[in-house]
Amino acid sequence: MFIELDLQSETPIYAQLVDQIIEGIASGALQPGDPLPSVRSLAEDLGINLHTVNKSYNLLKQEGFLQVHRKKGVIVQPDGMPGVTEAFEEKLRGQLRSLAAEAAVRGMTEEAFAQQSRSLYRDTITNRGGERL
Amino acid sequence: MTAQETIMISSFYFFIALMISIQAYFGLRTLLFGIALPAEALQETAVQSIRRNYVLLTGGFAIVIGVACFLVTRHQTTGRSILSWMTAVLLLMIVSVFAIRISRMSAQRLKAARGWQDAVQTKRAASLAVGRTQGSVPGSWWYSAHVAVMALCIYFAVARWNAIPQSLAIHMGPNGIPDNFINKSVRTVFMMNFVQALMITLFVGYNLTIRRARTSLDPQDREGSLRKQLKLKKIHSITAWGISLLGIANLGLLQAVMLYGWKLNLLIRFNISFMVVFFLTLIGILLYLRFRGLDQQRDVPSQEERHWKWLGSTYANPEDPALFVPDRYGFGWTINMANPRGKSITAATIAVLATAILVPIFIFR
Repeated sequence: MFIELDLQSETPIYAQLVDQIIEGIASGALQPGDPLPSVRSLAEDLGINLHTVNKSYNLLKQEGFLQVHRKKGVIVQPDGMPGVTEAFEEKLRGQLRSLAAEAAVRGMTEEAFAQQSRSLYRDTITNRGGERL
Repeated sequence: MTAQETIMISSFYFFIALMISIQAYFGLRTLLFGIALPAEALQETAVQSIRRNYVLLTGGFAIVIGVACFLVTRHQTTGRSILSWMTAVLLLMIVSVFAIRISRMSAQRLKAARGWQDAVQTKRAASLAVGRTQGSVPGSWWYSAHVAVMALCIYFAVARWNAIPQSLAIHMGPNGIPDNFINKSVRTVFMMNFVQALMITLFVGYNLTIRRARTSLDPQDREGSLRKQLKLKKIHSITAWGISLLGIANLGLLQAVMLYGWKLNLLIRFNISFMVVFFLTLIGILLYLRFRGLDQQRDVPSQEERHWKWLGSTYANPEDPALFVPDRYGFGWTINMANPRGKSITAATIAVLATAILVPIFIFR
C-alpha cells in the first residue's frame, strides 16, 4: 500500500496520514498484524518531520488501530479493531451534521445524501483502490 | 618504468579523465550542472552547448596534460612517474571544478534569461510495505566472502611465518631488483590485513547506506518509481560488492608478493585486469542506467536547489529527516550534511579512508 500526501492541502499532514492508514485497514490493503514502517523510516521516505508521523501513529495507537511493540515495531491491531464507541459516534455526528447542513442548503435531497454515504461506505470496504502489501 | 607499468598508470589516467570529461552527460537530463531545467529546455542549443563546452574544456586539458605527462615520465623511475601521473589527475580535478563552476554560472544565466521556473512538487508518496524498500539490497553477511579472503591471507601469514624473510622488499629498482626493504615484524607482515579490514568496514558501511537510503516515490508513478529505485539499489550494491571483493583480493596479492616472493608481474597483471574490469563495469552501468531510464529518478523531497551546496555536490537540509538521499545527479547516494549523524558518518568515513592510506605510507617510510 502507498501513502500519498499533499503538502498544500487544508487537511493537516498528520490527519492525511491517519485517514489513509484507516482507509487501508478498511479496504483490506492493511491486514491485522501487518507491520508498518518505523516512525523514522516513514518520515525519511516522505521527507516530513518525525513528530508528524509520530503524532499520527500515536493517535492511531490511542484509538486502538495500531499496536507498538518493542520487538515487532508498529503493527496493525491484531486483537480486533476498536468498536463503535460513544466518542466515535459523537465525532461522526459532528462531521456529518456540518456536511448534512451544507447539502441541505445546496438543495441536495435526504435520499441523495444517504445514497452518497452508502456508496462511499461500500466502496471503502470492498477494497476499491486498495492494494495488498 | 616498464612498459606494463606505463600501460597500467596511463590507462588509469585515461579512464579518470574520461569519467571527468563526460560527467556532464550523466544522471538527470533536466539538471544542468545542478541547475534544474524544464523538460522543454533540453532541446535548446544553448543548453547543449554548455554541456559540449565543458567536455571540450576538460577533455582538451586532459589530452594536453596526459601527453605531456607521458613524454616526461617515459624515462623516469616508477615512483616518480606515479607521482607525476597523480599530480596530473589532481590538476585535472581542479580544472574540472573550475569548468563546473563556469558551466553552472552559464546555466543560471540562461535559466534567468529564459524565465524558466522550477516546478513545485507539493505531493509526496511512500510505500508502507516494511522491508520491501530495503529487501533488494544484499545483507551485510554477503561481505563474509571478503572476511574469508582476509582470514585466508592471515592464515597463510601465520602458517608460513618462519618462511617469511627477515627483510621485506617494498620497492623494485629500475632493473627489477628490490632496492628498498623493511624489517619483518607483526606490524609489517599484517599491515595489509589491517588495510583489508578497514576497506571491508568501509564497503559494509556503503552497503548499509544504500540499504537505508530514502525511497521516495514519484506520486505520478508510485509502483514504477519504486520498482526502478529498488533495481538501482540492487545494481549499485552488487557492483560495489564485486569490485570490493576484487580490491580485497588485490591487497592479499600485494601481501603475497611482499612476504612470499610471488612474482611482481602477477600483481601488475591483476591490477591491470582489475582496473579494466572496474572501468568497464562503471561504463557498462552508466550506459545501462541511461538506456533503462533508471538514472532519471527524482528524489522529490530533496529537489530544491538551495539545499545543494558546493557546486550542487553536497546536500544539507535541516528540515529533511533523511540521513542518506539519492544523489541529485542520479548516480549513487549522498549524506544529508545538515543532520548531526550525517556529519559524524562523513568524519568517520574520511578517518577510515585516511587511516587505510596513511598506515602503509607510514610503515613503508
